[in-house]
Amino acid sequence: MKDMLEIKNLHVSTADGTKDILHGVSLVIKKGEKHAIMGPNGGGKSTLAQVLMGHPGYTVTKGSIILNGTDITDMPPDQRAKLGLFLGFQYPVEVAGVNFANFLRMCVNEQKAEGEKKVSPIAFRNQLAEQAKKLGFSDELAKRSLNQDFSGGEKKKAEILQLAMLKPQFAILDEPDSGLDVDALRYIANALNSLEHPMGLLLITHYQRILAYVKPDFVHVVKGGKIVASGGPELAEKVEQSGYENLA
Amino acid sequence: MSSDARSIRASYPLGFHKPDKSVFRTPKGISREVVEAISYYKNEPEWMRRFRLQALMMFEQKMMPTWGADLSGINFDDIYYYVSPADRKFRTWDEVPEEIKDTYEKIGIPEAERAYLAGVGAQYDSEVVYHSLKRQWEEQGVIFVDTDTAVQKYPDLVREYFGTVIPISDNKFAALNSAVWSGGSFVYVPKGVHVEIPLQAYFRINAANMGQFERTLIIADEGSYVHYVEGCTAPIYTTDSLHAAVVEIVVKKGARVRYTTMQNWSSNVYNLVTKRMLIEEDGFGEWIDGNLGSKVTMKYPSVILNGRGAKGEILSLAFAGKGQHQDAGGKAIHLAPDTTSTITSKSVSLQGGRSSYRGMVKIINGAKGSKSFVRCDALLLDEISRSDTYPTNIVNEQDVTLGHEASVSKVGEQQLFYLMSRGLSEAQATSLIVNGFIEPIVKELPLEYAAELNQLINLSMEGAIG
Amino acid sequence: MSQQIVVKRDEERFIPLLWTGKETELGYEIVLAEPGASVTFRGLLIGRSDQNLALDIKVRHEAPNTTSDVVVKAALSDMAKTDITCLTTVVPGAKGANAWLAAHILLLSNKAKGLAIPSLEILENDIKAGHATTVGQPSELELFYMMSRGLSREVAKQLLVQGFLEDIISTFPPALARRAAKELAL
Repeated sequence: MKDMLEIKNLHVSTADGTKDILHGVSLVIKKGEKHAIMGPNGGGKSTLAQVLMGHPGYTVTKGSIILNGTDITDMPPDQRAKLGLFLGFQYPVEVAGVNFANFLRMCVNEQKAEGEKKVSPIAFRNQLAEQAKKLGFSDELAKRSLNQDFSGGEKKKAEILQLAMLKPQFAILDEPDSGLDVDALRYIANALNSLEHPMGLLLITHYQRILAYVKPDFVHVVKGGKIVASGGPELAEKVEQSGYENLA
Repeated sequence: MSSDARSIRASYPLGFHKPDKSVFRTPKGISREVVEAISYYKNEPEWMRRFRLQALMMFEQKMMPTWGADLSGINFDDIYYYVSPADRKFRTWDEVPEEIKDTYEKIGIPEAERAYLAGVGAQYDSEVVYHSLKRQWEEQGVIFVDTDTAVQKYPDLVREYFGTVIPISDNKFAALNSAVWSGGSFVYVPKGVHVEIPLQAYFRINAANMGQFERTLIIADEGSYVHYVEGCTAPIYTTDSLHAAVVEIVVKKGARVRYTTMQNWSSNVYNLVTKRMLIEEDGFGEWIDGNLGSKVTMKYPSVILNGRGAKGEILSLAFAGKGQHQDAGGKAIHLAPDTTSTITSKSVSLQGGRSSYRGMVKIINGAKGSKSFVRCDALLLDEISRSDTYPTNIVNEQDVTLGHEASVSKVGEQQLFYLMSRGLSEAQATSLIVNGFIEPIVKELPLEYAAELNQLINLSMEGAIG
Repeated sequence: MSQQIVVKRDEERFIPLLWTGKETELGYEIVLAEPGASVTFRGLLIGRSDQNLALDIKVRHEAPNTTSDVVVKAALSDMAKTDITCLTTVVPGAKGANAWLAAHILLLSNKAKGLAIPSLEILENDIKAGHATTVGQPSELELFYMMSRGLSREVAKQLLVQGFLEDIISTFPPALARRAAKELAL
């Protein structure tokens, strides 16, 4: 129960009930493990990522999500975050007028328990700059509005920077590699590999390329709203060679 | 019946049962007697007569609008409110102004149509084409007749809807029309029927096409589709100074109606039209409204989105040239959830013309998930012309998205320079730019209109820029 | 009852407005009387409980090369209501005028109401003019994003409102900006 994220027989449809997307997905991610999810476009992998965080556009019609023994299936996103879950968005949302650093500082402070000392703006800036440096990013992003006018690569880096500052127990990254060139990809991968806190990782990939840099322990293929294949890193190579056609 | 009405009746002892054949015209001005005579002459059922009289009372009570164009030139006492088709005075070809004849020539109006448009001849004869289409419609159960005939032949259907989308109390000119209306079209499309070929106004049987007080009623039953087209890009020359028409359209569940108008009334006309569509659940209504002529036009095609998922689209095009004021736009009232409205207005003002966009978007509390987008652009071609924008946005519901954008500009110097550097004259270049400006609306017009419109613009540019 | 403001040759006037519910009617009549005159108007309306405001702004471009840049943003909660009417007029001869008008209303509760009528009357063609209006509520997607970082719905909403009004507040003189920030404070 502890130190694990359990996804049990998850059935998901769109919030207006018009479309069923996931038809019974089950998966267990233990803290410290790296899982990769591959699959054709429209197969449901992004939906899975978003539903785990409680996206308002989807409804769980059957099944449950258990985080460290707590059922979070019906919890609002902020409560899930406080329990240690993080979602790196595929399309990080732009929020005009909200300063990146201030926003992140608020989030970090929200995570602190009652009575625990909050981080001051200056202290936070220093921490942020340090973390950014460690990940190989400039902290120039921190001075701007949340994701506004960020390039594709900058948006993805910013998500990783947020992850690094919030230190979640389980991180779901929804296609952190899509829209990136090879250099940016390596950046992100290095950043992920250099994260110091122990974490369970669920990586939804667009290109298998990132898996060359972030080596998964387990690989799953999601197709038609279900997991059709699971295995070790060799599954990724198999898919690379023969595609998704021959799997279920 | 008063002595006046009796005397009117007495002068024409024969013929009021056969409207087409007799000669009949009410005296100038409006009064109870005139309205009674009209109804009597048309041999209308009691409910219609009463409707007209109530409307007359409303007309007399209602005030002239305090906003909009200058209507002080209208003299209500100087108008003939009913002239029977056979009594329409025609003029000779010689009496038609040169510029009008010229325009017909230049935009390629066929000879046969020219006489008709200029009020010189009788109705343009399209009998052959019309008859075969007529048979098709009858087979499908589609009703397409002039409104007078509809009152006689389909009284229950007419009575159910007449005056329900635009009540007599709506505004002074709707009340006037309700009292003295004549001519116009009545269309009923049965459930699920798709009328593939657009219904054209000039295919109607009676000759009262260019009536001053036309009343059109279109009912599209569930799941049906119809496209109605009226008007013409070519200038219509008429001595009637007031055109106060009413168009009511009922779009039932899942039905779709497109109504295209192109008006180019001569420069003495006050064109005041009330047009409204009531759109039910999942219905889709489109107004394509082109205003090229008249001295003054006040026209705001409206959509009332009365059922979940209803959609309304209004495309408005206005050209205001010398001495003209086009006060046009659109209204969208969202009364139900998940409704969408789009209003696109393009206006061009030149040679001192004035073009005003007047619009309203209203979203009531409870119309959750509604979306509305308005885009109005104006092009001012010279320094003596004028453009106004008066948009009203009323939002009483939180869960909505409303956006409105407007721009006013002149023809870009860079663009002009670029086109002229390729060998085009200033007039040609300007006309290319203007055509490009209005393209989003023109592409929705039936081909003939689009072609004629482009020609008309080319002509206007030559006239204005030379 | 309107405030009359006349802007002279090459003068640049900045007019900030912060409304937090006290007044029910506010009016401005701004005349760009001489060449080069320019006015920037930034209005911030924060409405709560049953506060009501009728804001009317009139701008007249009466000389060449004048500029007007009017932006009003409103964040309305509870049963607050604002009627924003603006009329920008460019008279003949006021060549090179640049006129911009925008009204953006954020509705934060089911009973809040907004009315916006940004009007333009343009009688000179050698100009640039435009206006925009938006009315809506905080986007669910934006709220989800911020909540996914651990912020409660209420806090996320407040942040969004702050963000929405940020570009207005940033133009305010310090004292006014502080007052505005206080009104929106978490």
